[in-house]
Amino acid sequence: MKSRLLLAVMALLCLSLMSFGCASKKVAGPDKDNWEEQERERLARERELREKLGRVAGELGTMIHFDFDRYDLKPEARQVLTRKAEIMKQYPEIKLVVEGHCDQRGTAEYNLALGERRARAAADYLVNLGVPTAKLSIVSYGKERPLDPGNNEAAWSKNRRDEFKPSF
Amino acid sequence: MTSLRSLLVCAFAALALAATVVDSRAQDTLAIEIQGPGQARMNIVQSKPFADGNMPADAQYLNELIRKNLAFMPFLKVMSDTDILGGATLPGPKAEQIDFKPFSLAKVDLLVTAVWKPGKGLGDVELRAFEVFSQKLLLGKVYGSVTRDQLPEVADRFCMELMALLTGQGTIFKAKLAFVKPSGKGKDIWMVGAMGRDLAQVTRYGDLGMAISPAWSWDGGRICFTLIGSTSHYLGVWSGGKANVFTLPSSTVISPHYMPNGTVAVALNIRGNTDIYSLDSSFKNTAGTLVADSSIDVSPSFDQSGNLMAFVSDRLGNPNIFIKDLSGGSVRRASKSGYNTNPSMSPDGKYIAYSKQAGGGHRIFVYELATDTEKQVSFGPGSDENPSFAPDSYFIAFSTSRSGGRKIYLTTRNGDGAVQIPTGEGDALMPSFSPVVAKD
Repeated sequence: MKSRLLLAVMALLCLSLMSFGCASKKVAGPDKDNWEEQERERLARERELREKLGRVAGELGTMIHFDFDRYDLKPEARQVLTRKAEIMKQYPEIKLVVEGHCDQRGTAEYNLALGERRARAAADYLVNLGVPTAKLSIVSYGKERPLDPGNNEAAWSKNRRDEFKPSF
Repeated sequence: MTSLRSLLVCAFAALALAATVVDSRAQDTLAIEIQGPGQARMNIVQSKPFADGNMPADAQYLNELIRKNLAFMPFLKVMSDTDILGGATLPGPKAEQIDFKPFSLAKVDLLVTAVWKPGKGLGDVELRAFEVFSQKLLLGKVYGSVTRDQLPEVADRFCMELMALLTGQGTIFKAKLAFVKPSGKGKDIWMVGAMGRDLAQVTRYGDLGMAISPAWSWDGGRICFTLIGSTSHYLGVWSGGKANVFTLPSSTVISPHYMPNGTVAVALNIRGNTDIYSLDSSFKNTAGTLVADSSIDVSPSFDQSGNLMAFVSDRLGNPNIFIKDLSGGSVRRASKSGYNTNPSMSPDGKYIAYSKQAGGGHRIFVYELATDTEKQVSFGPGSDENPSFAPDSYFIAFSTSRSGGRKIYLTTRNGDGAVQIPTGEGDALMPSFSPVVAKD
């Protein structure tokens, strides 16, 4: 009986892990004539939310970094994510957008896929810590939004990162 | 342009007899083989414009337009008229008045002349190309009652005919490029003719989003692209006017590309990996799976038959170029070693151009399917990325940082000297050729 229950829990967990990026996309397909307007409104509301959250938004926004061509979480990244999971539990109304970024050495399209893996790695970890998948979304910027445009290891290591934006 | 066309019809009629003779001669005179592994360059020079009456103010402008067009042809070396003893001047309006000796002494292979005659607008202009050694007329065209606005098209049409005569292909002069320009914090799609004309902005997301990876439909009427928003990626589809934005069943939407049958193929993450799917016509659902495994699969590119798909996969570690036979299902590796991305399959299905990481940047390589060999065709400096084959399967556009910032250059699959395509102020990247030239 116990093992059946365990199997059921594992199946549910798997389903939840597979659903990143899909959860908010159940209504797929319709044209968005006013995409710009929706995006503008969303960004304005997110700015308001960040102001309201104050210090907590700063803590939620702490970035994590990755090694070259890797997407596994380093111990310090796990610590940062653990703190985020605690905050998320304190503020159950908050959602979190996880942004995956890469350095400038790869090419754009492959880096979008790599950035997605980095964002997903952090999101999966947060789910393991009990954050509901519905509270998380992931978006990859690949190498399109570098923090440091420099062409050296110092710049590259800054750019290989996940950023976190509180949302609603 | 209708008026120009009717004028051209008259012009063609006027030169019909001459053209018949010209074409039959041309076949056994100069010809350039662009199918081979590269070719020697021919010396070409333009005469100063000759006016049979008053010289129109824009006569020199037409010469400059033609000169710029000729500079895009890697098999031509455009000489200056100062290279010719006494200058490249015409003594009179008639072809038989030309003294070919100074041109011959300067080792000129081809001479292009422009003779202006009084008429409506700027007047009528007769453009001719001669083979200097044999003194034969290769091409002669009259464009009647032209205006200044029509001169770029006159230059393109004449050069297109000249290139077609020399190489059998001239479509590059009518090909269009979609590309990406940064706009504030975001990125937008633009388009431009292959010779840098008719620059136009396609999307206007500005700071709100990043529109990247444009790709044309095979009828040249639509452009699909990735739109990166603040919480998800979307599929953008432009067919004139404002682009439509579609939400797909994946927050990751990478490298959309039209298949020849009008279907969009795109890399999505639906099952925990980035795989390549075809979409249904409403873009609501996936219609089929083109490549799916536990690795990253992105950047599909197709030949015009729709049977061959080049794509990137890191199934063997580094990202590399693979080819899938969509009718049989077999997959084989194309690029041989290292980090290889951004494949562009030539429309004829014979070649794949791609970026290979080398040193501090990337270089463009071309893989030939028949011989299973790859060849470097760009040499920096800086980083050369995102190659795109032109409709003729000969020219290749790519983005490069060689001149500071990022700009778009044109080379050939033989690696001939690259020429910058004017794209206006600021960076320009991710060029994508229209696979089929738009009809008039």
